[in-house]
Amino acid sequence: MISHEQPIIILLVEDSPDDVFFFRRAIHKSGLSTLTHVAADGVEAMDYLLNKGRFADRAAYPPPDIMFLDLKLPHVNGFELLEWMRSHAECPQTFVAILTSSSQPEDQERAEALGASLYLTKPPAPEQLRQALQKRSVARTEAVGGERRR
Amino acid sequence: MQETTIAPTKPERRIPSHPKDIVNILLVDDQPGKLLAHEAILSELGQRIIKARTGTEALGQLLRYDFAVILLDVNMPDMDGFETANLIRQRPRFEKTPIIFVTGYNTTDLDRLKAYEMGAVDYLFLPVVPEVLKAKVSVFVELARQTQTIKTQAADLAAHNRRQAEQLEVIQKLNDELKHANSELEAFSYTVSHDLRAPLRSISGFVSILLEDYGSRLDEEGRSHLLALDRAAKRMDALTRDLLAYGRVARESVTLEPVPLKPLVEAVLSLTGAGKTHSANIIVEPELLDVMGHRFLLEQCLINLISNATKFVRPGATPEVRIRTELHGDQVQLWIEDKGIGIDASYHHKIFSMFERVGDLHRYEGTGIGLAIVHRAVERMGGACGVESAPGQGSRFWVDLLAAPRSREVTHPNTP
Repeated sequence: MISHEQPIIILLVEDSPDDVFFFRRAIHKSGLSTLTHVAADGVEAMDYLLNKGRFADRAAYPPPDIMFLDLKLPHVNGFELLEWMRSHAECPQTFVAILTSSSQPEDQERAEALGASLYLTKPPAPEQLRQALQKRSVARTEAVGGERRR
Repeated sequence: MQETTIAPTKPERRIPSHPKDIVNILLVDDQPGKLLAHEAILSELGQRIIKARTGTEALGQLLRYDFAVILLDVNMPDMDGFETANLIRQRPRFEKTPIIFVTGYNTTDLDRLKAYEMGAVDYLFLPVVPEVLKAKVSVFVELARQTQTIKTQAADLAAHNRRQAEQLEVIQKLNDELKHANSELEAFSYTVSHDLRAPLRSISGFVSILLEDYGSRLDEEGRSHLLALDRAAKRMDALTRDLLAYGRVARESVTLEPVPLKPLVEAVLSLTGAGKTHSANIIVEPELLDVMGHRFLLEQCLINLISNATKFVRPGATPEVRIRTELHGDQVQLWIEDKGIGIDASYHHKIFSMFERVGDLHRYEGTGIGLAIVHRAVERMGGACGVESAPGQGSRFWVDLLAAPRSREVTHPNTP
């Protein structure tokens, strides 16, 4: 595990307060140093990524190191958000882990085709989250001359 | 079906037996004696004969009826045969009605006859020879009847086509409705799998948090209530999951293709964890035959049959399961055999129905949908399934499916 002086910035895109609670608890139990921001739907996630609306303060809401994305969301769902991220160059390159209640293989295939790197089903276990963050680090190290300095 | 519709008007029949077969003949002559004589000769044809004494009267009859043939005397006072014929021909409806002129050996008449250039015209010389009259008229009678038959057939055919078009429309409509219902069901399933299961996940999640963080502050009874709550939530989750699987098995579009059973069984065992845990002893024969099946449906069969086989054992006993195949003609028989508690013969026909459970609900977890999924999936692949079992003797579940071409060759090992 690569040690970080600063916490890992997580963007959790999740509309259910219960699931936000379970996520925070699991990430806390993982013992990693993280900072989790929550977007309640796809539109909020767009705002966060572009530092708009209530996420306008870039210092308070920096580009996330990893995004945990629910598929079923109001307004703009997970798939639509993935499509939007691909078609918007101004959107920061983000490592995406799907976190959903759907275990349907077609949902996983579709999410991966749209650029998601991981597919986790709810509820997330602390160990799963630790592994997800580790895979994110590996992916970032492999991308030579990574696009951002953390 | 079409043949039976047209049978009553078959043109081969000479003697009319049906009112529809009878046609009209118009006799026009100013002399009642000749009319009577001709009528007597023609009555043998069995058709309806209508008589007119003058050309005007003849035209009146033509307004009322259609005629197979008109027998028209040339030599009549006031309006003669040719004038009458001219007036008849002026009406489009009678343009093609055959006319037989009746005339004496009169050169003027003959010349005019030759000049008379109209279709379906014939002539008879006086005195009329009965056989000749009958023969000529019957030709036109037959022609009219055949025309009528063709008209009837055409009408029948048109009606038939219309019915068929209507039926097609109904089928199309039903198809559309079915498609609509299917897509609604799809949306419904999606909602069930996401929205309905989310609260259950919350219940289970908070129960585990309660046990973890507050478990030590609860007494035994309190903890047991929490566990009961968790079991209920998990059971409901399993029910929705199985109902969704059943729904998908029922509406999945099925194309049969060769499926090797061995790798599929191994995938299912590793997926369900039934194979690798020490809790069950599962023996899969080294060789399993390939079947003609559908991957998803077969997977559902295996998941549920294997889960079933490992579940129903005496408390504390290790499940023992054997999976093997046999070839019977062009059918592969897949056997999933256990040494569990077995099933009384009186229940064998019921266990494949929805929500039929034989085991004790508290001792054996299950939704009662698993074997219904198996039954439906096998049915959709055109196969059959069943069970051989007795209490205390274990259960031997079998599934019959069409063998894949490769499996049918196993008796000839040299075939490439």
